[in-house]
Amino acid sequence: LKINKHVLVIDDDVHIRRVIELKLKNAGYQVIIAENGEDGMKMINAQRPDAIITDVEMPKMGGKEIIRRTNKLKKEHPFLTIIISCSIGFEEHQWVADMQDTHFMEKPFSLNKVLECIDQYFGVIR
Amino acid sequence: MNMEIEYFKELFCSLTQISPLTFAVWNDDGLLFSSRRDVTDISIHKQIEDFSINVMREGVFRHASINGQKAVFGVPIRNDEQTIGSLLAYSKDSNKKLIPNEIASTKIPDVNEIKTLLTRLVLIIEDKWKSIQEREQITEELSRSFEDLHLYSQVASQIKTLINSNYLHHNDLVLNILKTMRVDISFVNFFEHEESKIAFNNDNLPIDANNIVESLVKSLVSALSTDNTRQKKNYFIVEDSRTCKIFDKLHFAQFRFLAVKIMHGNKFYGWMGLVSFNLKESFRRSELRLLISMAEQLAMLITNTNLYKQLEEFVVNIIKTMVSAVEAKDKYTKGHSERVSQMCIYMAEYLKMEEVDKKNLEWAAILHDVGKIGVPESILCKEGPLDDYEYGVIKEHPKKGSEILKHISQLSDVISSILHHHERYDGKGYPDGLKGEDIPLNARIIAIVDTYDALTSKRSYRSEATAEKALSIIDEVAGTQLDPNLVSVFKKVHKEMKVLEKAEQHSMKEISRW
Repeated sequence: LKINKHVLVIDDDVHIRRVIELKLKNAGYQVIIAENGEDGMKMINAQRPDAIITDVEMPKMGGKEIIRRTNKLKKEHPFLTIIISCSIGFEEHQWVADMQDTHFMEKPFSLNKVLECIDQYFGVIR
Repeated sequence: MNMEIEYFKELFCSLTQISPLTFAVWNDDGLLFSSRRDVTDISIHKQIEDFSINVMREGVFRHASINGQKAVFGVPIRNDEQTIGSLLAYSKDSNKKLIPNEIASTKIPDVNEIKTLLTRLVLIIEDKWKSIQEREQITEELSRSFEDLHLYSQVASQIKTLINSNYLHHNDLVLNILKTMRVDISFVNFFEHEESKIAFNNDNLPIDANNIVESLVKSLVSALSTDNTRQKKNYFIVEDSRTCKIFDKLHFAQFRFLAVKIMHGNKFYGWMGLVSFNLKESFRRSELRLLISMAEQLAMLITNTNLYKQLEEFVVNIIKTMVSAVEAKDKYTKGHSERVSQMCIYMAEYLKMEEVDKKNLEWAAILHDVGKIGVPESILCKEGPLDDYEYGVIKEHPKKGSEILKHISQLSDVISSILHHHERYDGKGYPDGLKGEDIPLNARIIAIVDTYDALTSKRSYRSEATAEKALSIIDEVAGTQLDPNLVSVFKKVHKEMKVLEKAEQHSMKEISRW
C-alpha cells in the first residue's frame, strides 16, 4: 500500500522520530523529518506537507509557535496537525480546539492512535 | 528485508568513473541498481542476469566472460546465512586481459584484486543492511513499548469502569487491551457476573462472530476454573490449543491463549484473558507483565470497594439501629427518618447536588431527630396539647442531636443541618433564630420534607392529612416558615415522586400477575 501523502515529523527526540517514521512508512505514507521547530517550519514552507506531527517542547522553535504560524497558512492550504505533549494538565486542550484541523495527544501516546487520526483525516480505510 | 541501495549509489558511480568497471546490484526480482547506463549493456542484460542467478545459487565469488568480450565478476550478498542478492562488476569495454584464462584463471593478479574489492564492498553493504534491519527491529520493539505505556497510562482511569458497569458488554479498557496486544479477543470475566466483558477483532472472525466469541470465552473460563492443576500459578498460557486436550475442542480453529487471575490475597474474583488465532506470533513477556499488573490493580480495587461497602453498610446499620431506637419511643414516628431521608435524596438529585453534599444531606436527614432520644416518652407520646415546659423540652432535640453526634468527626459537615432543621425562613424558629439563606441549605431542605412527612403521618392527637392537603399547607407557610424557592422545588419533586410510585405499583402488579 502506497499513499501519496507527505507527513512531516518534527521532534528533537530521535527515538520518537524513528518510531513515528517507521509506523507511518509501514502504513504507506511518505515521511519527512525535522529535528527542531525552525527546520520544521522551513520544510512546511518549502514542501507543503499534507500532515505534520510535532512535539511541543523543542529547541529553537516550539510546537505551539509552529501551530500559531501555520494556522494562517492553513486557510489556503489546509493540512492536519497532531501536537504531542508530555506536560500535564495545562490549557492545551482548549487552546488547540481553536486551531484548524489540529489534534492534541498526550504522552505516553499510542502510535496506533496517531495512525488512526491520520488515516481518518485522509479517509484511508484499512 | 529492506534492500536500501541509496547509501551506495554515489560510491559505485564514483568507482565507475575512475575504474574500467560497471557495478550492479541484483536480487531475486532482478536488477536493483547499476552504476552506469549504457546502450550496449542492454543487449547483454539477459546474460548478466543469468550470471547473477548463478552467483546467488553457488554462493561464492565467480567470474566469467560475456560473448568472449567482457569480463564479469560476482559476489553474493548475504543476510542471516541466506543469500539475498549479488554484487556484480563487469568491464565497461572489451578487456581481454580480464577474461578468465581456462588454464590459470585464479592466477591473474587483476582478478584477485577485483575479488578482494568486491568482497570488501559486499561486507559494507551487508553491514549497512544488517544495521538498518536491527534498527527497524529495535524501533518496532520501541513502538510496542509505546503502545504498552499508553495503555498503562489509561488503565488507572478506565479500570474503574470495569467494576462499575456491571451490565455492559462493551468496555473501553478491554477494547484498548485488544488493540495494544494485537490479539483477536480480549475479555474480563468476574465470577459474580454471568456475562464477560469482551472485545474482538472482526478481521479474523466471521461477520456475526458475537455468539461464537461469547461461547468461546464462556467455555474457556469454565475450562480454566475446573482445571485444578492451574490453581497455583496466577497466569496460564497455551501457545497452541491443539497441544492441549481441554482447549483443543473449544473452537474449530486453533488458537493461542493467555489468562491472568484477577486476584488479591486469597480472594479470586475472575479472569482477564487474550485469545489470538495468529499462531505465527507468541505472547510477549511485557504483555504478560502488563496484564498481570492490570489484574492486580483491578483485584485491589475490587477488594477495597468491597471493604468500603462493608464498612459503610456496618455504619449505616448502626445508625439505623440508633434511629429506630428513637422512633420506638413513639409509635407514630416509625419510619419517619427513613422516609425523610429518601425524599431528601430525590431533592438532592433534582438539585443536581455534588455526590458529597448529597451524602451529607442523606446522613443529616436520617439523623435529624436523633436528639429525641433525650426527650421523655411522657412528653413525646402525650395525647393532647403540650404545656410550655413540655414544648421547651421538645425544642431541645436539635441541640441534643448535634451534641450526641459532635464526637463523630466524619459527621462534622452534617451536624449544622441537624442543629438547624427547625429554624424558620422568617427567623422565628429555633434554636438560633437564623433567617433566610443563613440557615444551611440542607437544613432548609430537611425542614420542608420533615414538615410534609409529619403532616401526612398520623399523630396521637390528629389523623393524617392527604398529600394535597399537606402540599397546600406547605404552600401557605412558604416564605414564613419554609424557603419558598425550595418549596417550589419540593412540589416538582413530589409530583415526579408520585409518578414514580404509581409506575412502581404498576410494575409490582405486573410482577404479581406473572
